[in-house]
Amino acid sequence: MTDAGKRPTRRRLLASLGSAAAVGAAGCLGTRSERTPTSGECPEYDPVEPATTDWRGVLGPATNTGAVAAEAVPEGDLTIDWTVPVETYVGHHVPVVADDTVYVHDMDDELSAVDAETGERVWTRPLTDPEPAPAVGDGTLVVVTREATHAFDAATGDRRWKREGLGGGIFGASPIVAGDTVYVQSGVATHALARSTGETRWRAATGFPSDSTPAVDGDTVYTAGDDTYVRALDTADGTERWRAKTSARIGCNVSVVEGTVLVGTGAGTVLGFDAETGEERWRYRLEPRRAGGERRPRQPETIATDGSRVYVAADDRLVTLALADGTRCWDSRSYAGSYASGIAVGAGTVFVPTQDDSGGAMTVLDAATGNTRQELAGDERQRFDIGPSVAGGGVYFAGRSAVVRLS
Amino acid sequence: MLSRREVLAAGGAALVSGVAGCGGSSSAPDATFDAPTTAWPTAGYDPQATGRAPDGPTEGTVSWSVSRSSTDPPLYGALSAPVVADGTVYLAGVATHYYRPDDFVSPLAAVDAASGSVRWVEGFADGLSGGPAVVGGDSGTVVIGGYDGALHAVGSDGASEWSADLGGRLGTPTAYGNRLYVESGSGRLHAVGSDGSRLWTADRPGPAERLLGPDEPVETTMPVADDRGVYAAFTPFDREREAVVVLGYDHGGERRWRTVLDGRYGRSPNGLAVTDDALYATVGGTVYALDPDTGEQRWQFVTGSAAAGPPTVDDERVYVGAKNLYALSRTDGGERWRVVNEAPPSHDRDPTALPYLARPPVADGRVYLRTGAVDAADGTRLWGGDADEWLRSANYFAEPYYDRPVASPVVTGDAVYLTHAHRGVVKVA
Repeated sequence: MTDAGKRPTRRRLLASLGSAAAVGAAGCLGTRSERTPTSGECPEYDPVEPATTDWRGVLGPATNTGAVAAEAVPEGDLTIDWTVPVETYVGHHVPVVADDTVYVHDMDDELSAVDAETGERVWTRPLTDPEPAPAVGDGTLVVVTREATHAFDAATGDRRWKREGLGGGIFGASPIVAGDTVYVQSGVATHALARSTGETRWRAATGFPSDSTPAVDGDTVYTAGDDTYVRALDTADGTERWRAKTSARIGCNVSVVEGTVLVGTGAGTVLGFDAETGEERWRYRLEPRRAGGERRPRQPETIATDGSRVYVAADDRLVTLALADGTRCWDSRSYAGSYASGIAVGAGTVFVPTQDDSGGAMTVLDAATGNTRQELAGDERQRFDIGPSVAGGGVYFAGRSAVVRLS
Repeated sequence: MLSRREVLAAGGAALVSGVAGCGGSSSAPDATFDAPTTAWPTAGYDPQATGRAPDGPTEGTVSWSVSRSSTDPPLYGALSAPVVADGTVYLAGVATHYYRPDDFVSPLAAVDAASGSVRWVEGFADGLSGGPAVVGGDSGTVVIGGYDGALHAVGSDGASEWSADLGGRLGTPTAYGNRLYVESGSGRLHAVGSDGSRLWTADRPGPAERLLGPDEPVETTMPVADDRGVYAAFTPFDREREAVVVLGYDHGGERRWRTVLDGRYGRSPNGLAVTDDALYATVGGTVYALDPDTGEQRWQFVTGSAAAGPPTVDDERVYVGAKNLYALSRTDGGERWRVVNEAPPSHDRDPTALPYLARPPVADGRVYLRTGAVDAADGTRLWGGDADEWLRSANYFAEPYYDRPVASPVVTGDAVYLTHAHRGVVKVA
């Protein structure tokens, strides 16, 4: 049964009305999409075209860049293609997309696969307490629940394996599937598991939990966490290639592109490291936020990059830096992250959740300038606060008991 | 309205300050520390609190233990690290928010180091607020501070020798020659003779209006001392105020410098240690190295833990127990090695469940951790481990020990003595 088949017209109508209302509101309140122009030192926008057209993990590819190939990005103004109800009183996490299938859980007791084109459910299975976003690779879907790490056949939903004790949390790191290995941050260690069997290949313990989704590039996995270090580990055996000390816990994901490893720390600092040596290339101090008369560090929550810019979601800001030297390029002050919000970028376009009066809007920005191309307001049926995921010409969000595709 | 205790404390402090102003001696007292191999006389071993003894055991198994419920009064409260002098192990049960000082009798116990037989246990009805220190060499006077602001001196036979009403909740004293230094929760540093005479009081580091503030406005730590003077650290409880204030005084009570440190992940002053070229300070989960002559910061190391324990130091490295045990370069604070603590994060994702935290004694190339030891050069285990059955198997009620060490060891030449949150007092030899 597909919800899309039953009421497409009405939903499209509501979506377009919502969009119009949001644009109107933004026009009245100029601060909504205010951007801070750069001092002029920002280098020319020259992104690197990634190959990936799927969205296999919480931030797309195993490198956590949040970047997809131009062909995966829909052109023009977005409208809602379909909406699939995923009823829950708990919440959602970022949907992942591979092989024209969208995977989503309800953080409570159900895991679903949805056909990306039609919005029809392919399969649904019970699963207790799924927490962070799933990850999918080569036909295996990996989901971390509160108590265990599970692997399923992505096509059928049949269980492949389960590892008790390797649990995670709603605010925790999402798993990464890269090649024949699954990487999970659980307990006080990074675990590398065989994708086919779930057996532990190696384990690297820091003594601290990590909420930071690791990034994999080639034969290196880059990790961070409450331990305050960024580490480069050999994917074969977990051997440490380098480590770099920072001054605070790292809660946001690690991202790697063009030989640069990116993190943001709890001290409000964004750092770029040489992926080969671990040498610090640059650092950018986010403007502190004022709370109760005190200045507190802005907390970086998500980092994405298209090989030219670094996009940092930090509390109520999207801050854009030059990958080459960390120069600030532009800010968007309408960013509105939740516990599971992200950034997607492709074809010179940035997709982010933003705020409006109903809560849970989404905005399409021009990557080069930060100018707003489109704003789409949420309504009582659909919010856009969990996501986005961009794959195969569609943009996916979850929120308010549904998953939605736009193009 | 001021409580009677506050008024008394304020009056007493003013009097003492007057005395200091009139002519406290600024000359350094004679304070030769003979580096005993049979004793660990103060919490930090020596006046500098380096936690570094000349010798310690090279292996060990449990020799004896005294359970917490086997004495009268029982060894309840948060157990202090032990001190050892003259063949006797001394320890205190400190009142906490869980063992409330108004209805808890704090024990001070003396245990025979050789046999483990309990010599005596004295109860303090007003609650003890710090660990013991032994001052005066062979005379073996044990000094300990109370919630009521009284510094108590007890002879090696358990009889009271003197008491000095200093005011404010008193921390753990340190001994420097024939005098004691102790911080109070009202933000003062006291110098007291080993006979109980008050030498001087250095005024609170914060604004004067804090006199009228809450009863216990300041967090304290054990002062440390060397031939240049004495070092102290205070944190106002009021979160809107400055973070940790670290101060250097001369031995006459004149302030030499004042530094404010902003600890990441907590502001509690968890311990100091001083060497010729650096003052090491743990603040919350961060370790600092300061210039002992100016207070200027040299380096910092953020552990990522909410709390880290007091530092110890040898010629090359600083050792700190946080969630993990770390060895840091004295030169730049770089991590040389760590012992990973595998305790899982608790339900609220706080990594400090059953952390190490205790001051890690260092002796002859070994760093002592719980009931075992690791190599000081590279952190490899020499013996013992966190999985030791006797250490782990206990019906922990973790909450009262949340930010305290499970096990706090000290060493003599041939034994490790430790207090354990569940097992009481233990000798490993």
